[in-house]
Amino acid sequence: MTAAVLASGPPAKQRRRRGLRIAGLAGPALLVILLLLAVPLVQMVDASFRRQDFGILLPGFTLDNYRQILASAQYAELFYKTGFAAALVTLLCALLGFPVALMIASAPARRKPILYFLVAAPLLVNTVVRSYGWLLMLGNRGVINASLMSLGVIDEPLPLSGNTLGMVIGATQVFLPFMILSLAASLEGIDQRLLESAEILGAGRARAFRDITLPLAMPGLIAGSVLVFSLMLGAIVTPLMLGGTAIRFLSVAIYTDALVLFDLPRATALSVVLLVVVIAIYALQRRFVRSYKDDAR
Amino acid sequence: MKPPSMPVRLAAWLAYAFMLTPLAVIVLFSFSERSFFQFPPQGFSLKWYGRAWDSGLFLWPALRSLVVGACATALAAALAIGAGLAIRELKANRVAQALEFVFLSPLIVPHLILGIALLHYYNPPGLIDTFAGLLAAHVVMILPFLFRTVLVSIHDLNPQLEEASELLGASPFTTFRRVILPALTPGIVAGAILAFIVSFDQFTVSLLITQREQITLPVAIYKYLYDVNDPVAAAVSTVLVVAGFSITLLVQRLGWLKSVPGG
Repeated sequence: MTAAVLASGPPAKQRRRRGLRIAGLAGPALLVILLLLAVPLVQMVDASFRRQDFGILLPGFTLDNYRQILASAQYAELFYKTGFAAALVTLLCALLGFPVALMIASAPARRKPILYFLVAAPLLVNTVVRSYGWLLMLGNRGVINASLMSLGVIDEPLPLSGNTLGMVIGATQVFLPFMILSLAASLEGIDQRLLESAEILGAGRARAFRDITLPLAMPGLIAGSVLVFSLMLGAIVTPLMLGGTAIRFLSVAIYTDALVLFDLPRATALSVVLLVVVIAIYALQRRFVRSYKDDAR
Repeated sequence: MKPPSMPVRLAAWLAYAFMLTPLAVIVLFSFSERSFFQFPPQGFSLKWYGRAWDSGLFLWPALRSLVVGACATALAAALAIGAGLAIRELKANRVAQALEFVFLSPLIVPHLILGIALLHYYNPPGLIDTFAGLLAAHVVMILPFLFRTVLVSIHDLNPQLEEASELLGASPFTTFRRVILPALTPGIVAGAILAFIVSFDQFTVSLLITQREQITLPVAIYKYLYDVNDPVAAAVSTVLVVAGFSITLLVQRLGWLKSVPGG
């Protein structure tokens, strides 16, 4: 940099040139974000304050869309059911993911790659395909119903898909790898000497798990849960394919309003609510992670 | 760590079965003789693969998915390099932090919401169901993934090499091409693979902003399932299962698995 300082004239001119260079470098990316994210989102918020007539937005300003969403019992039920389903998926991911993460973290080094591979590979298979796999499993003539019926256990197919149950099962599989990878990262970081000391001091497996493994896995568990919960809130593929358009789930309601009923104001108002919730969750997590790190110090 | 107790290991293997069984069922179904699901499966046939090919419903969407992924990755890489270099110039000040947040912001917005916003935004200029509209949406979605890996490489960049290059009389462009770009290549390649995967797997936004002409492969599978439910969808899905597993193997061999999940 010294050579550059000697070579080019007064500092004011140089500073301006530096400013121009930064603007030239960051400009294109900023423009893309502005035109394809910021402006569309602002327009979406704008649409949520409008009225519509046969799918066409009318000029003017109204709070009706939000009033309708936030005051009616029908929408209260929608939000409650959405939150419940997302929480259930998160809980199931944690329950199924913990044993896998424990097994990965304790596996000998040469077996780890294959265990990681079997977790990551489903992640790289398209969500449409994975949900389709569950459709083949849970459908009226799917694997589970067909085998139970041929064994004579049931006469009628069980309603395993086209409802919340199907959505929760499918979504748990879709998001489980995120939880496992997040938990495994935490568990692999645990200092082995802590567990050895616990054993020497006479703590049993359960005690060591409760007092050492679980607290130290907490950051991974929280990060994984936040990720799964917020991904589930915004998920549409699995809810649509395994839950169907009749289920009460926020993202499905947004999809139906926008593409089936062409009620853009309501779809966008619901989207704004969802976006605010997702951003709030991330903001809370950031604060929590920071305070957790401060505590640990 | 001590190996976990028997019940824990059993639960772990059940979780693995839970993750992998639906994929195995798809593969089995794609080779089935009949057009509906039978259990236990009977017969073996490759006819559904032939039908998938003959239908002509999947080839163009598949090619489109590959082309959109490649173009969007190249464009986003160029944008990410510029963005990363600008942030380095700014050192670690407030503006740099704000810019970093802006470039990562597409990660926070759920794809459904971005899709609804773009659906509304694309409508008046007639960008719905166009290649340009599809490509632009993919660029903004994968930009953060490239930006993150490029930024890491840029932090590791040795400034003395650039100074040496300048002292020796190289123009800024030559310095960029001969010094900066080669140093960033590993980061760009890692980010590009991840970004391509994200683009190729993208479904929600593509579904919302396309109709018939410009659909991508996942959307084509979804639309096919919506109309007919026969093993043709399973045959195409099997190709994607095999592709997904192969790419995972490749990424793992190269040691980039850590950068794949959302963290």
